[in-house]
Amino acid sequence: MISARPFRKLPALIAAALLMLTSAAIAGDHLLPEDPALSDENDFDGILYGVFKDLYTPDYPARMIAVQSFQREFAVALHVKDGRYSIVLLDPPTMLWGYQVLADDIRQRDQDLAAGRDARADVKEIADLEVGMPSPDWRTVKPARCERPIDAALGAQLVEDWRAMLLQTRFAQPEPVASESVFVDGDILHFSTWGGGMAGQITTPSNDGGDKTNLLIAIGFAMRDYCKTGDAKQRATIVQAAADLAARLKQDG
Amino acid sequence: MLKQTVLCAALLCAATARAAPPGCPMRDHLVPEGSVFAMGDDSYLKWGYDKAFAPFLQTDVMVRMIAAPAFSDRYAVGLRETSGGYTVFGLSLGRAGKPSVHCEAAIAKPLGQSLVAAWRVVLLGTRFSDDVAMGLDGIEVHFSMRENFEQPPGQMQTQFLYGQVWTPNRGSPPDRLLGLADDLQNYCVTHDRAGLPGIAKAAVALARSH
Repeated sequence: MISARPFRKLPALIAAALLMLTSAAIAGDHLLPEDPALSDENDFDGILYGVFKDLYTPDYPARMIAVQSFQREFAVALHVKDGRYSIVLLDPPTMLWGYQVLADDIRQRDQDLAAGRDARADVKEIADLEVGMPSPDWRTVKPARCERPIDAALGAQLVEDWRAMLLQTRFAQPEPVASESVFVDGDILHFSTWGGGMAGQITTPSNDGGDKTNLLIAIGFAMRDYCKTGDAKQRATIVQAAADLAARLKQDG
Repeated sequence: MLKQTVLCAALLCAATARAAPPGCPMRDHLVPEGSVFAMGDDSYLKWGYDKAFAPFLQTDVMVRMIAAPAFSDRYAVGLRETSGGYTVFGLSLGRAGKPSVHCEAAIAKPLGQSLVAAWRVVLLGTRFSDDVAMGLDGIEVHFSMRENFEQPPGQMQTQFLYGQVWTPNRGSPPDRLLGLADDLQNYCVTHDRAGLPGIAKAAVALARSH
């Protein structure tokens, strides 16, 4: 198993995944737009989508993918069919970030070989990574699935909370300066809904994250915990946070 | 490509059971670019992307626009900062994906700064909308830029701004930015400086419109 996110690779990815991460780190009380698919650089987004793609159908109107430092990623979503709502959790058996690092190492090995450089260190890194993986191909990763019903009123509230928060997605508006960024470690949460193709992200802890984003994050994590345990306290947390978020959104008009 | 975009928009309308009429609010502002997380499979999201446009997506490009009109060549225009000012560069792609026009021209620093400010104002208005714009033809336009800032004090950050619009409403901020980019492209091709004062005036007005 990969025990920790190998951040030594981050400099090589600074023009890729970190474009998204650094943007996400500056959000206020709203989500930020996702990294555009027009870029060829968002490999990790593609891995996340590939592993969790079962949740990308019209019967999942609210979903959150959590990318946490040193922990396995997971996706939690609201499922609705024939008016019945449930929470679905997809929990992969391994840290998906390892596949991004593996792809980066393979790319580096190929570049070294093409340039006639010594690639033995790359080959060893690749072998070490693959030993800790259930399979060297992320496409074969099968996340564990859990599903737990919730009542329609709560389900409808969550759909509306997601929709309202995603409609508020926008860029931050700081004063620009002439200097380069430095990435600060953090967890990234990707929120999306089916209707309208809306998606937004935020990094936590955000520098000035507000009540609404914190409530949305809390709902996502409580959904995961409730799906896993069925604990009534977790369900109560979802209900309370969903109601609080709706109230805050109503204040915004 | 645009037909596929329209198909996509139609699918979105089907999903939301809501289609916006011409002049709908969505076309008054940019919307976030399609992302893997929004739409799932990203293969269709890369229709407009051609490797010939890769130089426009490099990080040394201050601002850029890539446009795909329904019945004419796709084209792009970008701005790079140089030691003395800025350089405008542009590219048009013929039907076969071969560059038909490739241009480059210098502009003064104040004009470059005004253009960057204009891009920023329009991009900061990027947001989703309840409405979905759709139609049979038109123009698909992608704007983007990067900026650095300090928040909180002592911590440097970089933000990448992206937004797209389909056939912007006449006189709307995206429409005005599209007009500016087209004028820049024209200057890039012709090197006719007579149009520069008008570009500068329009850029300053747009930058101050927020």
